[in-house]
Amino acid sequence: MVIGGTTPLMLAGCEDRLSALHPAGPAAALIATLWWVMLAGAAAILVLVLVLLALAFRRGGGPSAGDSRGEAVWIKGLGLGFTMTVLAALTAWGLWIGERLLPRPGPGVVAVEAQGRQWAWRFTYPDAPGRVTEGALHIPAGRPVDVRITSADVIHSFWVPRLAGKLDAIPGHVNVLRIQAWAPGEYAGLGAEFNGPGYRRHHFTVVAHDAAAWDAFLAGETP
Amino acid sequence: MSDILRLSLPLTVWIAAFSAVYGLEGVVCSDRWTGAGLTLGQGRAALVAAGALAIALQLALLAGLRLPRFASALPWVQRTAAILAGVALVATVWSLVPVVATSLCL
Repeated sequence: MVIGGTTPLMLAGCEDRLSALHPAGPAAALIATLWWVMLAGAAAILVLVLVLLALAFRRGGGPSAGDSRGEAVWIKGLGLGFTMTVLAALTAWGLWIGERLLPRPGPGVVAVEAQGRQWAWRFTYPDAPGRVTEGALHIPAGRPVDVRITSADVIHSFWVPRLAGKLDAIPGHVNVLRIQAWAPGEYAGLGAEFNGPGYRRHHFTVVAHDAAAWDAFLAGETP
Repeated sequence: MSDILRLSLPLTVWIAAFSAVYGLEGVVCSDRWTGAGLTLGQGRAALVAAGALAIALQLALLAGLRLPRFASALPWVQRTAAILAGVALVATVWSLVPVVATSLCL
């Protein structure tokens, strides 16, 4: 009762700007679709189990002659067959989505570098040597961007919920995350892993530019 | 062979094989693999071979536990060991599928 009453209240405090369910790019859209399908599937299975439970209580009585056949249906068919089928389908689909999220080489891919530290994010741009931004990652809208993520101290997690999934920033190692924004705008990002007392202020903004503004940024004409 | 071993060996082998194959993937994707003059294609072949070995090991356990020489005197142990060996075989195939089916080192 308490959970049922308070959950909608707490969810009302969620913001679109940090919601993975309001995708603003292809990678986040794939992840959001997977989430919705899993939610719908889990809800349908829960309803099925509750209906079967209710039927079992209504039926009552002790064991009957048909119980060995029922065991085959309920335990082998629904308990094992149904469960394994659902898990296999979700695994296959998850692997397929995972493949589509990988940073494959291709035309028009932009590379940027992100370095996390306690408690800030520093961004550099191979296409504009010497250009450094703190707390704001600039990218072109409509183009795939490979973020080369590392850390200067402890392990952090780079996450822009509306653009892609999260990926760890590990000292001495570079992980590459493919992000893309459909349209110009600002998208909230954050360190998604607890990393000390300054964790709550460990966030940043992704600024997606149109083509002209991106060229201006690379040329150093905008801050 | 003790009954404890009959019951625990297949899933223990699965855990060990899982760790070994994904550990090998880490080695293949490290700089040291290419630094040793090996290619990613060879890395994939090594992973597939390791996965096939793990599956072969599970099949051997499944078949071996049915032999009179290794069978338990207790019927319930024999039945449970056979079920657990089957589960370990399925788990091995299931958890090693990504090694073959997905991209390597991206």
